[in-house]
Amino acid sequence: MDQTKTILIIDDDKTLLDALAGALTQAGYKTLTAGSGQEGLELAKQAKPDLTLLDYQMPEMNGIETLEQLRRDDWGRKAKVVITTNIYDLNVVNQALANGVSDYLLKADNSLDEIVRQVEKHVS
Amino acid sequence: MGNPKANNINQLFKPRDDGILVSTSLKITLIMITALTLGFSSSFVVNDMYRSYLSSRVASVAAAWPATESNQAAQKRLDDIKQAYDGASQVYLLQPNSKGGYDRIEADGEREPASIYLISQLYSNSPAIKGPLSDHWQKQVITTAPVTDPVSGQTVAVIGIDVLSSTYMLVVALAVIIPLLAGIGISVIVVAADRIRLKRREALRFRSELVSIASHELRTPLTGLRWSEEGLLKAKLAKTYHQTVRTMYDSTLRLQESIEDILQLANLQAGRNLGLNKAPTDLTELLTGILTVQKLPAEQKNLVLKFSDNWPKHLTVNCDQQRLKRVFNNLISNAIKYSRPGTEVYLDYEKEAGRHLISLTDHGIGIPDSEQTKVFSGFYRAANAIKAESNGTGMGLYLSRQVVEQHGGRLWLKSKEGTGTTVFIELP
Repeated sequence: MDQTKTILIIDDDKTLLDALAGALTQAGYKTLTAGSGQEGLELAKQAKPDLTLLDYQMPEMNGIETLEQLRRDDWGRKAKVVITTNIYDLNVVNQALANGVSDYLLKADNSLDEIVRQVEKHVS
Repeated sequence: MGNPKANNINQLFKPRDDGILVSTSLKITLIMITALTLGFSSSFVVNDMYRSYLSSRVASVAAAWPATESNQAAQKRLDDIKQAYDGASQVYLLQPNSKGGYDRIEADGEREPASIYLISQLYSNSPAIKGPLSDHWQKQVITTAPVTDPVSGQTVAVIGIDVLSSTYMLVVALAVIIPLLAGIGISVIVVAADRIRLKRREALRFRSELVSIASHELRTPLTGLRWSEEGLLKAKLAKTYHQTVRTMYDSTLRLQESIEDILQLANLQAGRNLGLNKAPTDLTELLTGILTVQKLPAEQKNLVLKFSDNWPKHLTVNCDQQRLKRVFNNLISNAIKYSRPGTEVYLDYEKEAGRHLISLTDHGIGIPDSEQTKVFSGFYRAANAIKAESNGTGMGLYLSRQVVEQHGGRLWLKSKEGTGTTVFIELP
C-alpha cells in the first residue's frame, strides 16, 4: 500500500467517520476527517488529499454545496471526490455527476472492506 | 421539524406546487375569456332576435289595422295588443299631422309630434312618410310599421312598438350573464378538481419525504452498527466474543436487508426514484465485492460461494450499479439462506444473442412447482421457505424482478423442491 496517499473523509456522523477512518488507516492510508462541509473545505484546500469521501446529507452545507464550493478552487477543480451517502436520490446523483465526482456510493450497501476497495480503485 | 437533516431533506423535496397553481389560473383565464366572448356575441344575437320578433309583431298588427277606426277605439285596440303579448311593451299610434309630419296619438286622443329618431326609422319602413318630428320617447321605440289605406294605397298611420328598457336590458343582460355564470361555474369545478389533485400531490410528496427521511435515518445508524461490527470482527477478540459479534453482524445484515426491501417498496409506492442511473459497470468487480461480504454467513453453513470457470475477468454492463447490487445481494443472500449445509452456490455466465445471461445456482430446499410464480408476486414466501427460515419479507424476488425489468432485462427461475434453485438474470 502506498503510504503517501491521503484520504479526506467529510461526514457529520461521528460513528461512520471514525469507522471509515479506522478502516482506511488500517489499510495504510493517511486519513483526515472533518465533521462538516465547511471544515472539510478548509482541510481539503490546505492538505490537498488524493481522494475525498464526501457525505451528502449534512446540516448547514450539504455534500453538493460543499462540492460546488470545492470546484471553485483552483486545486479543488480537479480534486477526486467520491460521494458517500445514505440517500439514493437520482436528483442528487445527477448533481454530483454534473460536478465531476468519481463515484457515488451508498454507505448502507457497502461493507468497510468494499469502501476500502473502492478507495484503492480511485487512488491507484 | 427540529431535525436539521429532516429540514435539509425538506428543502431537497420542497413543494413544487407552482406548476399546478399557474395552470389553474391559466385555465380560469381561458374559461372566462371564452365565457365573455360567448356572452358578448350572444347579446348581439339575442338583441337581433328580439328586435325581429317585435318587428313581426308590429307588422302583423299594422296589416290588420282598420284605417277608419276612431282614435279612442284604436287606442283600446293598442292596449289590448299590449296586454296580449307581453304587458311590458308600449304600442304607439302615429298619424299624419297638418305640418306634413306625424303625431303620436295619446290614449286621451291628444296628439304629440313624433321624434326625429322615429322618422328615420319610418323612412326605412315607409319612404312616403316625411316631415319634422320630435318627441321624448324615441329611445324606447324598437320598430314601427305603416298602416296603409287599402283604397288609396296611402300611409294613413304608423304604429311603433317598444319594450320597456328594463325588460329589454334584462333580456340582453341575461344573454351575457348566462355564459358568464356558466364560466364561473366551470371555473369553480376546475379549482375544486385542481385542489383535489394538489392535495393528492401533497400527500404523495409527504409520503416521498417520509420515505426519504426514513431512508436516511434508518440507514445511517444501521451502517454505523454494521461497520463497527466489521471493525470488531477484524480485531483480536476472544473466541466467544468473536462469535457474539458475528451473530450481531448477521442480525444487522438481516435487518438491513429487510429495511432495504421495505424502503425500496415504499419508494416504488411513493413514485420516487423510478429512473435509473445507468453507467458502465464491471459486474465481476461488483459481484466479487458481494461474495466477499456474503462469505461470512456462507462460512457458517460451510457453503462454497464461487464463480464458474467460464466467468469473465471483466463483465461490463450498462446498468444502475446501486440497484443491481441490491438485486444480487438479495439473490445471493437467498441462495445462502436456503442452501443445504456443505453445498455450493455458484454464479455462471453466458452471452446469448448479444445479451448477458447470469445464473445463480444453489443446492437448497427449492421452490414447490405450485409456488414458483407466486414468489414473484410480493409479500409472498413459499411454505417450505417459511419452515426453513422464519425471517424474510417475501419482497426480494418481486423487487429484484422490477429492477431487472427496468433495465430492459428478464429475471426468472428454475427450481425443483428438495434439489435446488437456479435464478436467471438476463441483461442487455
